[in-house]
Amino acid sequence: MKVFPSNGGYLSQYVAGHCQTQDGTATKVHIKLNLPKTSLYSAMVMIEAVGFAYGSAQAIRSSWCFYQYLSTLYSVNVNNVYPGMNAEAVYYSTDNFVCLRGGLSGYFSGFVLNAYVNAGDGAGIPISVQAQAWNTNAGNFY
Amino acid sequence: MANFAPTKIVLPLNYPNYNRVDLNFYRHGATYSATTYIHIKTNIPRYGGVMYMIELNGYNYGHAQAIQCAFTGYMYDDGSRPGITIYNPTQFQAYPGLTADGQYLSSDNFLVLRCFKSDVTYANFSMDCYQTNPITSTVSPQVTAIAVNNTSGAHF
Repeated sequence: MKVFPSNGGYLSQYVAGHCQTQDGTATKVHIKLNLPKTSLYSAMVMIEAVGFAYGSAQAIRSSWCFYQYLSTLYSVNVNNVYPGMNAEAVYYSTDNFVCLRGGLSGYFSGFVLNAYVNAGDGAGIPISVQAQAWNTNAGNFY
Repeated sequence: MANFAPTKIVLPLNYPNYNRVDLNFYRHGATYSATTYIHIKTNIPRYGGVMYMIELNGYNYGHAQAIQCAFTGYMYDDGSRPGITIYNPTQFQAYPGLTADGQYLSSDNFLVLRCFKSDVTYANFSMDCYQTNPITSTVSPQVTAIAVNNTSGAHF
């Protein structure tokens, strides 16, 4: 992980996490982050996935953005630069962590995650991946 | 603020080289050129087992356009599909400053990337490589030669 703090302690993290599978039956990836649902602090975040979906022969560059504030996810949005994955959703797990969902072909798909925390009093916290799941669940998995 | 220790990423033990990332492994600095193709020869060999997404990011000053484009593929050969040299080679454009135009194998069996623009004056970029093969991605990517010309096919 490479961390580049800017003024105010905000972090840009390159390769904050990895996700990879060979499961050709998977159509969804669920990524559980270490960001908790909390009212103790806030974090305005953009998470970006960069990699390659070999099964569909497509590059991946997709992002999820959200603002975790007072135990609520505000201004959730997703964007896709290359067609290898569709960033689909941001949700809270049942044990109260922020999770991301993407849709893609699972056959030899892999990507790294970059994280940009650009505001909030929790902005100095390094983001990492607690767990990942590759399956066909189009809702909330965690 | 909450006490918030980062969680360690646990990688499968049989995937020691999973997702190698090389950021800015090459920087291309061009000057005036009325030619249209940039051929980028890499050190990624035909049988190297490298599953890659190579991305170019930069600025085409001559066209006043940003550059972001990508090449994907898999340099692998187990002998089961004779004649195939690069598996699933595909190109993508995010910004219009330079087109990822094609990929081919050099005469000495290395991966070559080909970019296109109507002219490449000061079309400068850096290159990142994301290796997503979980088993055999051990190559440290490098650019071994560059050719800027009007050749739309194979140069190297």
